[in-house]
Amino acid sequence: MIDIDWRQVFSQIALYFGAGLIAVVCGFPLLWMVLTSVRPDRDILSPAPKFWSFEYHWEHYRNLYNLTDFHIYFFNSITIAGTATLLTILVATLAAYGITRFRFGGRETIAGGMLFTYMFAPILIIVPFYILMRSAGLVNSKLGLVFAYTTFSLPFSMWLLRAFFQSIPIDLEEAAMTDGASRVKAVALVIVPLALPGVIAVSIFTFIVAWNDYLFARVLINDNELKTLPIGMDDLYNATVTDWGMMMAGGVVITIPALVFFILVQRYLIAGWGAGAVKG
Amino acid sequence: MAAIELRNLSKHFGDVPAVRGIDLAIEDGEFIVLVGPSGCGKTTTLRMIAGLESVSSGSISFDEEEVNRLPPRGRDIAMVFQSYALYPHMTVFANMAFGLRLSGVERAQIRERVRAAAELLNISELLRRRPRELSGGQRQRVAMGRAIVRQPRAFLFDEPLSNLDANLRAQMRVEIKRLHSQLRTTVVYVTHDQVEAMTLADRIVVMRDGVIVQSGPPEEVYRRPVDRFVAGFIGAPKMNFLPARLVAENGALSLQVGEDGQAEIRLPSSDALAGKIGEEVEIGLRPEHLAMQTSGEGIEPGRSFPFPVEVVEPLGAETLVFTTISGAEVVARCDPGLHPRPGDRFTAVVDTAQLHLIDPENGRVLAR
Repeated sequence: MIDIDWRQVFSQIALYFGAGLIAVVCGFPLLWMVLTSVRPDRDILSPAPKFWSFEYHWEHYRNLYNLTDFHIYFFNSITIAGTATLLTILVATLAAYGITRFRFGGRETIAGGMLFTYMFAPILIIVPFYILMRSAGLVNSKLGLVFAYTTFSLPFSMWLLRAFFQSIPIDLEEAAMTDGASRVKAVALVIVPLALPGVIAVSIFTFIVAWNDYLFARVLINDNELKTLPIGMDDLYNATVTDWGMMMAGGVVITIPALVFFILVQRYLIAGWGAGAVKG
Repeated sequence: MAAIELRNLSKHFGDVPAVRGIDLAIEDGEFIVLVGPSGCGKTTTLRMIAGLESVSSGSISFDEEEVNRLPPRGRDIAMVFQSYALYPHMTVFANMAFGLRLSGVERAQIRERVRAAAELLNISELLRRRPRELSGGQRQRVAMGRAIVRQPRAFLFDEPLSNLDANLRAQMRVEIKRLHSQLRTTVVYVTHDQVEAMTLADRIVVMRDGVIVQSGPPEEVYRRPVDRFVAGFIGAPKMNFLPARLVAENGALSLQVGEDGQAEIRLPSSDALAGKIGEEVEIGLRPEHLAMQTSGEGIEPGRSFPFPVEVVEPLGAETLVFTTISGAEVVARCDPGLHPRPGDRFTAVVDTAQLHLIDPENGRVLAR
């Protein structure tokens, strides 16, 4: 006879029910957004909301592309977020490596102070940041936004990568150097691949910070040609007539790159390559 | 292959000296073992030779060319680390080929050299695996393979066997020795294990507190230690140290062993000891130089002392017996055929030709 542990069965049921409930609560707005983006306007504005309808079309997506500058905003967002991500990875990797491997005065203070910078909400630093950017001639430029997102992402990225670098035995780097590698090659060929989960986490964080940002883009960008998606979407919302279907289509298109990026890189997040490197 | 010379080599970490002005000439193809307790400066010396640590003062030369300022990659050395330091994201093949790829060796030649080294080390079947899929001994072999394929001027080993169990360590010792006899490449090997030092070295360099205390072939360091530290560090079980007083009667020298002078050991006359007559000295005597006898009959006087057995350690081929004389623990090797037991009263016969007299003030060996 099979002995069933009912307490465990109930706790499992409760766990899955709770998780399912959270998934539904989080997922429903997304589902509604997708459904709304493919429905005719009369269904969207119907006083009795319809969850299910057999009439779907791509009109809102076509309008989004033909009647607005959405494709320009999309391109701007992709290039700015992509560049900020690459720049952050480069700078954070070098900085975290330096803080981990070299001894210099104030090293621990810098390391400890990294997260301190997050005590200040972005809204607090936006005015001084604007003044700095203006004096550097970077207001109303993509480069200004790239610098803004890099600046904002760097402390966390450095802190995260520092923890990864600290966990990588220095013997591996020294082995690479005695094998004939320069320090730069040892870092590129041995250390960075081992810190890949950290690099991926940093890239996700930076990409999402840059992709979702409204504040910096709103303050630093005036030209329509340089606007990013959040600003463009805001302008759509503030138009004389709010086209909900088109807005939801925009929302879907905005979500896809972040989702694809996450799906592409999340498998690299798994740690465990470190096993077997050195005697543990 | 390279001859390596260290001249007045020093290393300080801040105000703390790690290596203090050592001089050492390592011949081409020689197997040198740096041995000493933790913190003696042996690993720091090795790391300076590798270029992983900067030199505070003095110089390091490879074939009379100073390499102080050369980075590790410019020295053409290969190092085997205590932790193995295999690249975990690469296969065994890629680990071994890493150095060759960096130096631009052709693919076909890389394959050939890796396969040859793998065959030499019996790891051919492991080439597709990753380090995490290997046992400790296999990882150690891969680490050695990675060093061998590069055909460097010198091999540097930093306590490579200390993470292995006793059986594997003994096996790897033989393999390292065999490899050296085949390759005849200069080896600098660091260990704190005096057995490794004795079995592997062409020449042992004993270090303490950042200086070289003694350097010489294993047999010489074992038989003619310069001081109490070397005498006690090299050899297992350790050399026995007994307090004694040097006395002279009618021109004949003898040692009164123990604080109460419970035994007397006669010595041949020696000019070196003339100034020490009447003073306290320390006797250094290896366990194999004390022969156990069940009775004192037939032993010429002045060569023995009573040995009441306190502890017995049977090791199979031999048995170690322990006693205490004037507060000092004394160990002797004993024929298992005597079937020693705690409480037995043996007579220990001293091989006076192998006896070391040590100055208790400075630890120097006065005579032997």
